[in-house]
Amino acid sequence: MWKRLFLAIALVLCTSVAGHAADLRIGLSSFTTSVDPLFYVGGNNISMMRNMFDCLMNQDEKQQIKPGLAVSWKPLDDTTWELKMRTGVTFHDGSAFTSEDAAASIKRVALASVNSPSSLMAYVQDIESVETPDAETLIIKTKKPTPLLPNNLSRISILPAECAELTTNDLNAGKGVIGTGPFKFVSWAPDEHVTLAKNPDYWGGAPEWDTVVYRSLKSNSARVAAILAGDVDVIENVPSADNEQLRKNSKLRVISTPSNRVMYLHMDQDREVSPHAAGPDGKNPLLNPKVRRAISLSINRQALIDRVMDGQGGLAGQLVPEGYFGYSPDIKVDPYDPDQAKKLLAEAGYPNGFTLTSHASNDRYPNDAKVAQAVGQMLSRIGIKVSVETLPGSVYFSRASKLEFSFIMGGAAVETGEATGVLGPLLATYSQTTGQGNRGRYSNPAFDNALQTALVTVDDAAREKLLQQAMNIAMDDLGVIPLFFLSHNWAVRADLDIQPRTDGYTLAKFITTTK
Amino acid sequence: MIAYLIRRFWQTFITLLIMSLLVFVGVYHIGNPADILVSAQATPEEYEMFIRNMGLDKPMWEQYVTFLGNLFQGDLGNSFVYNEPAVDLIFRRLPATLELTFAAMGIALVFGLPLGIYAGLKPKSGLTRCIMTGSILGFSLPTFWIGLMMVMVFAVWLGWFPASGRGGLSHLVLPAINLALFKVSLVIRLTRAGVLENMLMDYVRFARAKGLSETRVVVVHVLKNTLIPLVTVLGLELGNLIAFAVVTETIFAWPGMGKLIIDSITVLDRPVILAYLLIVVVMFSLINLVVDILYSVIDPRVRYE
Repeated sequence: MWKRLFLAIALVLCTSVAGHAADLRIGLSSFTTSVDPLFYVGGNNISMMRNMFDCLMNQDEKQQIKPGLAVSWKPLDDTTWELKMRTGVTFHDGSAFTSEDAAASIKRVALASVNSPSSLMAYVQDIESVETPDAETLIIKTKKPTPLLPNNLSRISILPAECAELTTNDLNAGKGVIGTGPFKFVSWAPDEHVTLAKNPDYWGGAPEWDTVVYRSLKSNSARVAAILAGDVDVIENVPSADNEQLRKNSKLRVISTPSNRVMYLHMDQDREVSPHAAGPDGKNPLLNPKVRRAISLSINRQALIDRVMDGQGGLAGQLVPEGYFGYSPDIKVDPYDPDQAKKLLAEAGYPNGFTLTSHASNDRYPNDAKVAQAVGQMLSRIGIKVSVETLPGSVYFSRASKLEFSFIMGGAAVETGEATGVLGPLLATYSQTTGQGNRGRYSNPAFDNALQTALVTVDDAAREKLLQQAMNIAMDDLGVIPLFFLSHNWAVRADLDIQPRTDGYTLAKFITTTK
Repeated sequence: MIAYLIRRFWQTFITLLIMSLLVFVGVYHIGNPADILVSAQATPEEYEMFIRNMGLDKPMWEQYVTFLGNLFQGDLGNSFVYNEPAVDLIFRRLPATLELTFAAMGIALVFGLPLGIYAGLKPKSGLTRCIMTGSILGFSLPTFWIGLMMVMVFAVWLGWFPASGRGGLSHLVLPAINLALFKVSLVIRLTRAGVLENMLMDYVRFARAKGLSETRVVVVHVLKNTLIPLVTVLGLELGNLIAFAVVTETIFAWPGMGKLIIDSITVLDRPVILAYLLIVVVMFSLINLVVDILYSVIDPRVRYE
């Protein structure tokens, strides 16, 4: 009796602990909220969808736009694009992919946006009409010149046309989760797991894994424990405190890459009297560009990366990393120069500094509270009387949007792979349609002009020049002060390899065995 | 009895009303979910659209009245994050939490009761001292620390059990024990105190004088009288376990309701927070009712009018 019971328990343990050779188990730090690929714009959703769905254009590991379900595209005139579809591609249900499916999917964005907390409408709102002259051709007419159309379409997953009428709730119930991607949908449970199976007919070559299980492991300690115990084969977002330990572990490998996410400081540049920044005269010192430059010079960026971020990150002198469309080679990262900073402060009329309360979230970005505190200490070294207040994101973001703060820290990712995705929201003059994340209310007509012209300039070279010009203006004014680019990192079993992506997406297709 | 039940129902109802109002006002004042959920790239128009679609543009009292109106039609609203009925999200996670809490409660009773009885009957023996010292540890060591240690030792070093997640029996062992440790100590102490107290009672002397065996005296008479305080406390503790096993669920990435509420609070997913707390209030009321009814079963002198 006891023997049999023991045997049974041992069996249960063995079967659950050991995985099969071609099974892959991945622990994620943020999890998809739906299996409708057009429901939510956040990276946690979009990255999961890249396993099951293709877009007309796909982003490669450095977020460059590459052919996806469209093999080529060209503007016929300023507002008309012709896209040629890939032939011979089949959906997971066996039906053939045609331009009809692409057109229906673009139309479906509106349907999926109805109850979405943040929809993908922004990526298709410039589209006037979509026509399908034949199965291999798609003609997209836009309301105004839209050079970013390929970047925007690299966010829109393609479903079969017959699924276009399905609601998000239908898809969440498992109906019609059909794509052309490297993996087929099997099952999911919100905030628990997504299970996928190999698509052997994938047009880009069948992936290595028969089954992939993504698990939600949002707690840092649970995620690290899971890979140490062998519960999962891959985890994303290794907490910087555990980086060293995992690196030394011979059964694991840690792989990292600089990311597209920049951490920055926003300063009130709008109000004469600001709630949390005041010079001896009671006025807001942050309006003065010399003060902003002094702040930038007082920050030891390398020390932030080395000490606070455990060596993970890249220096930032502008809002996109090198290699991204819109990166300006003219801009140098501000050096750490407290003497010069003090001099500038004195020139600006604040030889004895001023008082400042800096605000930051404490649960939204890696080590956000520690970074804010370190920055506060650096500022106090040049004589600014700083106090640092950190708040949970649930409180912080609402108050920041209501402009209750004067000096705040934030993070922004270049989702579309080029500079407008950060320049627009953070620095364009705040209005009903622009500058949505501009919590410092920076405003410079020359910048706005360069950016707005860039947004309707279809010629790539001319557009890049305009974006660089806009970047130069904003960084010369220090509309925001860039601190550093975060790194993305992964811990994988020692016999695995992962191609790191700058967008931080953990995609099973790019995880391979090294042997 | 019927009158009693009706009165209890009204009490619960009023508790629900007050609680919902408090939570509503509280969450409303923490912040605006749109600032967290709407993407940084979204235009102000989209931001406004979300606020309108979710009814967040209306004054708070109006939002509350709408909420109450829907509540009486049995609709607790859709999650802002998942766009699914909040109740569905919660009930989908209920089995995981129940599995964990009943396992923990089972462990607490299976170990706690016999150990507690032993400690009560033989207060001076060496084993009793060990039991009581152990129970102090169970009381005083923080759950999260023990949980982390258990993961480190039994999952990472020894590899006997998986570190996280829900699956077969092996997944249940560590979190259930982690959650049970405190309860075992509690059961031991309550049982011991009850047994100690009851052994000195007259009825025990009479039972012995009647010639009953010691086993029968302990199991039938003493234990039954010890159970009353135990049932009260365990009833409340069961409710606590189900509703707030958050720490254990987080450490072991157990996909239960506790994790859902924490995640919902961080993104201000008000419908889920409200639905969750309403369900918890109902659950506590039900458990209390069951406890009260159990009293009258255990002790025939207790009657409800």
